[in-house]
Amino acid sequence: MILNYPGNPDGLTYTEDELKDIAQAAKALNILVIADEIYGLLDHSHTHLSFAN
Amino acid sequence: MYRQVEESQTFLINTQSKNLTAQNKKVIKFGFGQSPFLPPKSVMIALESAVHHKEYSSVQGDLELRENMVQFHKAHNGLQVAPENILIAPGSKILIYNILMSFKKADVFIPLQHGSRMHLRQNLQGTIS
Repeated sequence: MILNYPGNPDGLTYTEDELKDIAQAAKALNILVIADEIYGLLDHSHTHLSFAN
Repeated sequence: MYRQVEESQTFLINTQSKNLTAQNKKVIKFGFGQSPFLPPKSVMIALESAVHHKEYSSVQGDLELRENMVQFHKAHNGLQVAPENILIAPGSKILIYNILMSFKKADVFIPLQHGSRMHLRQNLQGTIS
């Protein structure tokens, strides 16, 4: 699964709860997650959470 | 083996916006991820001072840079990453492409929120099923 967040150019991103749900599902289904978070520092609400966390 | 690659949506948007600009229409561009601003002055000075280094550098990335990345991820993401597990590349696109290349076949899931070039990456690799 490729996660790309925050998105360019609209800045859409995932909440902590959404990331936890994705992580839980990925773990249960043995899915490798590639997280592209290159715009993480541009999250204007300063709430960017790395998927690796 | 050649694979038919679709035209980049990013380049298509850029061409269309250029055409509109040529027609004196006001265009606010969101297509190209190209900053209208100069890099920080300190970066430009550092680049100028390093221009005489003509030798091949480390494929994985200079150790000093990787060690700085360790500090970056610790400070910004609260992550402990070993420098030997860091690979420096010119952008995440090539890194994702390299990861995809390591799979002979895989099902790829991409949530709707993604960059326009993700599908191009899949097509190049041909791993989507």
